[in-house]
Amino acid sequence: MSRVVYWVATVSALTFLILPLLLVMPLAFNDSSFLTYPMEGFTLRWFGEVFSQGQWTRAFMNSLKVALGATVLGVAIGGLAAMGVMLTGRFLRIVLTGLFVSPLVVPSIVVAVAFAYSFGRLGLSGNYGGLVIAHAILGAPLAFLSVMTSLRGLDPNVDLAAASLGGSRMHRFWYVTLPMAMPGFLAAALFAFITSFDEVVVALFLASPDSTTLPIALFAGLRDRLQPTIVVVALLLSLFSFVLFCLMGWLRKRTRPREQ
Amino acid sequence: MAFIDIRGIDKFYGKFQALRDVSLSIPKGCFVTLLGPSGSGKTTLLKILAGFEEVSGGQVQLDGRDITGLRPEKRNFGMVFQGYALFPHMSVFDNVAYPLRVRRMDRRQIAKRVDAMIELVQLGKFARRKPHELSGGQQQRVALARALVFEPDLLLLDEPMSALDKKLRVNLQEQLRDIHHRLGTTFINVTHDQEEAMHMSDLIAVMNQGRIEQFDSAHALYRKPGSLFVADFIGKSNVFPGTVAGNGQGVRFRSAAFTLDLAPGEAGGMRDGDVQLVVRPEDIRLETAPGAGDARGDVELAGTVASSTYSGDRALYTLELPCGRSLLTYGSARHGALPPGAPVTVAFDSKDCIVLPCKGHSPSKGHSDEQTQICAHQGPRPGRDQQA
Repeated sequence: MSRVVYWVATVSALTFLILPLLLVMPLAFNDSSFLTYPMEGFTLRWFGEVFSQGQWTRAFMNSLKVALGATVLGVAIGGLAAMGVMLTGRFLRIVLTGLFVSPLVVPSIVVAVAFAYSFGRLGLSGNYGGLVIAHAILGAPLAFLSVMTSLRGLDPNVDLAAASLGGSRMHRFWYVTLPMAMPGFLAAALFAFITSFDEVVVALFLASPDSTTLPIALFAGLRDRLQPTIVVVALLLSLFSFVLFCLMGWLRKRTRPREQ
Repeated sequence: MAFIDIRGIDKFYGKFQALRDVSLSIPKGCFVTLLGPSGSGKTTLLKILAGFEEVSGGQVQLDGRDITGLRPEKRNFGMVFQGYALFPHMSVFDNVAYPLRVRRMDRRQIAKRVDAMIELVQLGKFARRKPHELSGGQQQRVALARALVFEPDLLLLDEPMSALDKKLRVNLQEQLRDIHHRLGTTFINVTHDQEEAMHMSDLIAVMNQGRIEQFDSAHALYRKPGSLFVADFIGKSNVFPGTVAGNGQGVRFRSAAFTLDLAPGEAGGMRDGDVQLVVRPEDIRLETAPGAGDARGDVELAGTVASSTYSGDRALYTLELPCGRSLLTYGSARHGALPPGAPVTVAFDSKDCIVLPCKGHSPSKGHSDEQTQICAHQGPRPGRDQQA
């Protein structure tokens, strides 16, 4: 009985989540300018078009630049915050954790408007730097949480042992704590990257025509000219994310035995 | 002069007092064990020595220098943790090399010292392995090598054997004892295992409820316990509550079970009042056969066997005395243990009795003469430099 429930639940959840994606994907290979079934034939024409139209490559490069910048900044902020919070007392730790995680709770449209206003005044609106900072702030809570989790799993005696062996606080951080918390930092980087890479709302408010990111280009494409090229881009993006998640899974698995 | 001088340490966790006015003088080169039940404050004291915990009052001195507020990394003390606390991302070699790299030692010098130390703990074959590829006992030896390679002034051991099985534990005890002899470093070990403490230590500090009950050699603790707690915690004992009263030169002890005249030297300085009389089970003679009646001594008691624990070489009997008290004694087990209910007689002498004041009297803080002699042969040995 429980097996039946298990399979019904699994299959319906997968259907609900994945079927729409699977239904759209084949249209990338459809030999027609319209996004309709039945398919009229198989073609790779739209792939060629995506790579020949400069806007998609430009948008991809913009997204990559922003995401990499946001990853570095977000992991630095979130990771350092997590390390600092771990050094505080129990009460302060709860309060600070709540504060650092709060950007996750605020609706993104509110965050986006707040950024647009404040960055406009600071002259950061519409350029690459502003977008990086905004995305870093969105990614930092996730980085914070994943570094925090991996620090929590560390044996506190290891740091004490390093101290008794003569390691100064700085030395211990670089040679003991950081290497041991590495899986957490890697996961943090991946989260921060993906958060930035497919972020739409804040980017809509902050990006200018020449710092357009991929999600915005997709959004604009949907609005202006509904073509199979969009499905091609969506397919490529999904594959990119899939590869990243596989990478994360592999990293997790590789580092697990060390944690015992 | 004492090498480590612990003076009047108090430690509070909120309102809970973990240490109460603890003072201890540890001679150089000694192997000292802090022994006590869990919650007695032994680990807290070790953490204070390591610099991981701050004191609420009192002072720690190393060679006459106050180190109470010194950070752990400035103390030059090695520490071995209960859970090993090895660096999981480093090989055995890198683990042991860590303290030397921190000290910016020359690369070739490091290799030489680390190799020698890994050899000393018999892990030469495993230098390139990661800690998780080693067994518990091997990991513990890596931790030991890492804590000793930089020639610390003091080695602290926090229940280093508790995670190991018994056979391995005895083996590691021997190795530890041997390494201590070779290096002559001062060792302070924490354990709740009295056998481990007695096997390895020159001196044992028995701790109870945040206090040091007694600091003495294993032999003195066993034969001359300063308090009922020590008598009870170390080894097995029979305790008879009673009173003493002056009787000519000596005193007379009275309890529900028997009356006994004690010579002046045997009453522990007690002239009158409530006391506890302690007799070790091995000092009580059991008659050779039931009904033989050949157990002779200052006190002779009749009883019946209540239960027995047979251990091959001998049997430990719990006897029941007519007054309702039970009594522990060893007996020969050549023909098997006596059956429950068998009537037997036992005897013991006044010279084997330990008389202790009742609770309320402060335990004697003084040490026996044995303590000073014990560590006199210790200290850094010639040939240590070639070792390291």
